[in-house]
Amino acid sequence: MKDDAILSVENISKTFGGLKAVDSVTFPVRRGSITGLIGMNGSGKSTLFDLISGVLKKDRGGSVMFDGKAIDRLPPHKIFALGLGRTFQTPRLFTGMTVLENTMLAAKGQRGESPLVAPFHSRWEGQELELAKKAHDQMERLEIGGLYGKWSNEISGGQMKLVQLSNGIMGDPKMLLLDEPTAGVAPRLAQDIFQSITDERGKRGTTFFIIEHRLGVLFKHVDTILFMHQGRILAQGSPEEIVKDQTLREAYLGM
Amino acid sequence: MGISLNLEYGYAGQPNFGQVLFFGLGAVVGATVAADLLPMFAGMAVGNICDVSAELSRQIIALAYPAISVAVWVIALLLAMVAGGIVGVVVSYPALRVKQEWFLSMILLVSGEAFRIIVTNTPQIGCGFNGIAGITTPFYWLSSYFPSGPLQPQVPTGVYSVIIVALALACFVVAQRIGNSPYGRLLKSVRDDKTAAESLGKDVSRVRKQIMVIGSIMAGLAGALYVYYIGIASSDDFIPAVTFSVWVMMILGGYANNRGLLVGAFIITLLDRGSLVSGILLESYLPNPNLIIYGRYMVEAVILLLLLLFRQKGILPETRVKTKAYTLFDFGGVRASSTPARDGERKP
Amino acid sequence: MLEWLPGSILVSLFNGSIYVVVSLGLTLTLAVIKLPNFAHAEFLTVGAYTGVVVSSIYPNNLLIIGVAAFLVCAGLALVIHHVAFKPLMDRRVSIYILVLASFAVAQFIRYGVFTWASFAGLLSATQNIRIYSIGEIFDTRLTNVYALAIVLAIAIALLLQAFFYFTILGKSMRAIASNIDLARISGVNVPRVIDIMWILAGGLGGLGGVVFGIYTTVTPVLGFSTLLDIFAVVIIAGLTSFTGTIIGGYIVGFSQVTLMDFLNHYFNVSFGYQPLLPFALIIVILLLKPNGLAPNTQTGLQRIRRLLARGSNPSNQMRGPQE
Repeated sequence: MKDDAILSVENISKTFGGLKAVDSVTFPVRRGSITGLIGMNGSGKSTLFDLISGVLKKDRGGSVMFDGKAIDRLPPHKIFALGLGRTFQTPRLFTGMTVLENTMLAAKGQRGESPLVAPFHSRWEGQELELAKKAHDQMERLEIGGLYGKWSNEISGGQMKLVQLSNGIMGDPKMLLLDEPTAGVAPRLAQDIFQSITDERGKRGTTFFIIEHRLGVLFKHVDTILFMHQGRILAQGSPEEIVKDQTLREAYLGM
Repeated sequence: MGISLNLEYGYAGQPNFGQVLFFGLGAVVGATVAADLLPMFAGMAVGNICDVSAELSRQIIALAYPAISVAVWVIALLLAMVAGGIVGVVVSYPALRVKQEWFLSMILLVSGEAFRIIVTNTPQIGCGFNGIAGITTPFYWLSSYFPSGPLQPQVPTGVYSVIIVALALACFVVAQRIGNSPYGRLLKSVRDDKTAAESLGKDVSRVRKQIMVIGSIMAGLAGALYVYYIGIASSDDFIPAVTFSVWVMMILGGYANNRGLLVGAFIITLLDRGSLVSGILLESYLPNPNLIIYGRYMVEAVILLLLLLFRQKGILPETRVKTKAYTLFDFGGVRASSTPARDGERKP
Repeated sequence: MLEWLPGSILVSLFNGSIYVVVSLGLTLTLAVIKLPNFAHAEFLTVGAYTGVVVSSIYPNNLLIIGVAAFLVCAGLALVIHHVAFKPLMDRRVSIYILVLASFAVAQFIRYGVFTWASFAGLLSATQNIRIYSIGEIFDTRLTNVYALAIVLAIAIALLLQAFFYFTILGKSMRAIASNIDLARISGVNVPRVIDIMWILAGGLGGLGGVVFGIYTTVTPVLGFSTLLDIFAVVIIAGLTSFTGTIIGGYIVGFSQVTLMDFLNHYFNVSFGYQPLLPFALIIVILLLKPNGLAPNTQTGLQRIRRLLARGSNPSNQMRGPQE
């Protein structure tokens, strides 16, 4: 049963001076799925994301294929251009700009972004207006529409998470890696976030790969779960299968 | 004298607009190379032989043949800008590969000094220690059209000053247009968080190289203009204290704000010219006329430190990237039809 | 044909030793508080001028001028720390701002020295120390000052290593260098240790400066003219390594003198280009080995220890990776 895997990670590792943060990890992520990555702190989840998104270079051996292309040697901006986006555990927004500017930045293919074209406003103004509308609609869908004018360091933590998510989606990605999208956020909002994720997947077919600790909400929305422990993937499967897995229960759920 | 002093302020603002772009990028460093490389460009600007007879003959020619005079000047400016750009590109390669952020500043600072040393020691460029003298303002010839009198020597300088100010304004406009565009957004994002910008698909190293080149071009222009104004291109005019002054102008006036830069440039140039003038006036009272200059540099240093400690953003605040998108929204208040922002911190 | 060589090597050693002493101070601030202190070079100037002043009162007394320079610069270092760096660092500003601030401090000190020197008539001054020869090696005059510099560099290097590895204060400093928050929580009196660090850094800078000043004419830009060299040393060293700094200091010293002589003799390169040599070195190092020569003294020492342990007791098990 070879499903269409949009992301295919094979046997990758990352060592930091004697410590194997990621150890021979192999797994596929099905196109259009919502896949969760769980595990204790320090099990290597964020490092795995760093490896996939190009922020860190993996050790020799293994491969990372995205949408049929090998991306393990590419720099992060090229990986993004191919359609793979990523958010961070602590929201990294651009503090010198407003929320709207932050979101508009994420859009691809902006003509005005070349220094030669930039001074000629008429060349890119039309596109700019469209983008602004799109960004605002995006924000409205996540119910943060009113925040557009605020400087990005003036909003609350939960709002920052939403802005980050919004930015991610703005880039029209084929797949998004979300690093703890609901950490530190009120439970009600966590539900909303996951609902938005599911909606987004339904509407645009975006694949989501999510690191999460809030198992309750996660299990309700995901198709597949990967369990990571000490750099290794110990279990893969649907939420029901995972819950029944003995190793996992001992190590993580403490049952 | 007072009039020409006034008009000189314009020139100072000029080299700095490139620097503001740098600040938009957060590369505090870019300013360093730009200001330090001014001598190189100044040298390029003239490209003439050095001996005294050449100097005199240049003056005669300048007086008699207006067209040539202006043409040479324009060519010099263009050459300086191109040279600036090229140097910017060349320097950006090793400079951007460094591991730590501040390396960049240091490398650029010392590159600037290195250029200064090369120029001083290589007679072919820049005539050694004395520099190139006798570079006449491009409008020298105008004075022959005016009746003799006290005003006569001032005219060409005055005209040139106006031209400089005009060019400075032009640079200002360019900088503003670049800043208030998606590219401006891009610059700010790279400045704020390089990794995050990269994860959103922006090619950070390319942007940094671009900025360095743009800044260098503007600096080249500034160097050439300066040299034509002063009449002498001497490498001693371009010590790191110059770079420092530029930084102070930037931070004082307003971080990442072009208008702020104008304000800052004005203030510092006032300080600069003021100290020179008072140095000359007070010469008889002081053991060393340079004291005022030393004092001025010390004052600048103190200003910068105070700014960094208490008001990092400078006089004018950073503004939004004002693109057409602004017409869609009301940034003064909240748009009536949008839903209120969800508060992520609502307690269950 | 090579008659100039021994003299040249001697001067290289001298310069190198000075660089070592001064740069160790810079490495200190880089390692412990991660500050690339552009004002460090000014300690050199101040130290040299202290030498000028003190030696006019106590001529020919190397000890007194050395101590005076150390103290004066240590004091200066404390002042700039409390006035400029501490307030900024407490606010956790970005490193750009710290660099800018250190430039400002450097400028302030430099022109302050200019001002003072012009009032005192010392814009171009010499120290009153008699330089005498204590012997000859390979037909060159070995003077007391050369010997002093070399011995001083070695002594300081050894003392510092001992300090860092055997005293509590030294260990605290290393702890701060490694992880300042952890150090704080572990009970290290961080502000006091940092003060001491500044005393050392400034003092070393001044000490190097005063010895340097013996042979040269002291001017207010003395320190600044060596800024490039000092930074070249720490870059070659990999920024935070002590052994690297020692090696780097001598490399730069040699390139400045012997290499320059070589280029001058055989390729007719004028001496005016001398300041460019460290610059070239920096570029080369950055392109080839951006981490410097000795990026990790820790593992180096550990390896040596393990080797020694194995040598004396072959049945010793190798301990696993501890990082």
